[in-house]
Amino acid sequence: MTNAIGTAVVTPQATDTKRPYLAIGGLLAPITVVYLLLLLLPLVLVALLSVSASGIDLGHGFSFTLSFYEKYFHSAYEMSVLWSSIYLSVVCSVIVLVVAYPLAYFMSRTSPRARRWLTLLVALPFLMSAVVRTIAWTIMLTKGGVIPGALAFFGIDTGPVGLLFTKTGIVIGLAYIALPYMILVLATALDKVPERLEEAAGSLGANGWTKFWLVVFPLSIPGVLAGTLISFTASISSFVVPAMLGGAKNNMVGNEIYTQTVTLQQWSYAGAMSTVLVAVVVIASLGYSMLAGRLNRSA
Amino acid sequence: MSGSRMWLKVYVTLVVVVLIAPVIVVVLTSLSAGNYLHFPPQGLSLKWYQDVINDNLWLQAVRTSIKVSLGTVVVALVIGVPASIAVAWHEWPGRRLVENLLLTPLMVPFIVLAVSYAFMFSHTIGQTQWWQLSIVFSVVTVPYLCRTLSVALRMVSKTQEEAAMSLGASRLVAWALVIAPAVRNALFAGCFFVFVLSFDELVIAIFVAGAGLTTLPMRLYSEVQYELEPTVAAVSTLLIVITVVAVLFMERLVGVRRLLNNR
Repeated sequence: MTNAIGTAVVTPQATDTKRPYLAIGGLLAPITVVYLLLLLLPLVLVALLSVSASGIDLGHGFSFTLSFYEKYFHSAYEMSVLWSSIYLSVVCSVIVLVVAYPLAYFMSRTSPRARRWLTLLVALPFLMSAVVRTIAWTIMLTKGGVIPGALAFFGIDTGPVGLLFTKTGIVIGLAYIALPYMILVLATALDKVPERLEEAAGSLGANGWTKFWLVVFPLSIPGVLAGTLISFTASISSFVVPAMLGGAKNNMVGNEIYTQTVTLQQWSYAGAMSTVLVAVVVIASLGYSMLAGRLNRSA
Repeated sequence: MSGSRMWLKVYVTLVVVVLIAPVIVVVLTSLSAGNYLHFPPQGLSLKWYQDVINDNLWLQAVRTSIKVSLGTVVVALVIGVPASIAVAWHEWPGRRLVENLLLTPLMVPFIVLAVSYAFMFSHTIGQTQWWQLSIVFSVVTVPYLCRTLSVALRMVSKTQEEAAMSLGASRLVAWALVIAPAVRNALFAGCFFVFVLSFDELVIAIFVAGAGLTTLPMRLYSEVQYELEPTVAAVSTLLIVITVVAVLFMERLVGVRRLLNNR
């Protein structure tokens, strides 16, 4: 069979039954190459750098060392930065969960029209540049800004610098970035909790809070886990927020990695820090999936 | 019941205000007549916008960002469209696994990738070019394109392509007349998504791009380090406008909700 352009056409059925893997392989080849070179290779490279005594000269002989990890784990300052990063990210995830949950619940139970509007309003900050979002908080948190001003109105003094360049400022900035993720994940999870179950519980005499804690919340736990994991991961690996809202005294891991890389060109040391960061994220993810798995089995 | 329902509505309104307030604060600050980045603005004027338009460095950054982002969209299409077809139309063992693997860039901390790219680039190619930024940005944005597109492709089944071809259309014609119109909206929405994310990307850019390559977020970031003039708010407002337009477009094309839905 020949088509208009004159090339031979194999009937599609024949292509698909005889050479499906060739076709699939061909379709996936471009993205595979790019992912291998720019996703897998970079991660391997960072890990290699972190254990390479010869530093950046990977080509000219490679000798294994753990000295960069030793240096990192023995630095009281770097460890305090690491722990405070973990702490701030956990606090941020919890705050975001509590703030987002009622809104997500409302979204999953309201009319399609209201749902649509709320989704648009959540999507706007979600797609806005992290720099822009953080500039907004710079304006609002600084001494004489809206937030310290409002707090002063209630008699809370925020000190000489306002909330800018404080840990509170960082948590606010991180939470603002994680909030849209959390809302969207929770709303999707709550969509799967049938409203009828709530009605059934209500008809059996459960009041609002009982219905929530015994029916809705337990069924939404997969979403709660996914949402907090995303918030934690985004927060602990963030660079822009602590750099702009934290000032010089409140660095997070991301800022330390930046200094070692861009400023000091200490690739191996930065590699060790980065590998530890990846390890923290992987451990958190494994913990969450184990929790989710256990819940699945017990359900 | 109605009482708690009302409290819920009040609370929802409050959270929405918290979500949107920063956006409004930036926009209003940019209109200030004063010389400091301060809210509420002191007097109204458009002079900071004039400053931006007259500043060649800002315009240069805008041009760079547009170039990089368009490049990202092209690369994302080249690698993302075939991959989406593979997971949407073909049934094979391991398909689900590959579908999940396509999303892995979103799970890796960008800062770690940034360190590695900085190392790779500084030791192989010297001065980073704009198209190299496009290529690395495509890695971290293509998952969104694949997700949107594969959902749309699944709705036009492969049988429609086959039907068109059995009626004598070439594969090219079948694609142009049957498949493309059906997935056009998803394709555009996916491209918008990639464009906006790429336009906004800072962390990787700041590690990788050396002197001579400054995107708009990079310029904004370095500007806030040194002085807090309302020009920063004016440029931020321009970025906000781009985001609003993109969100509205995506809503028209496929619905933002479908676009943002996690799995």
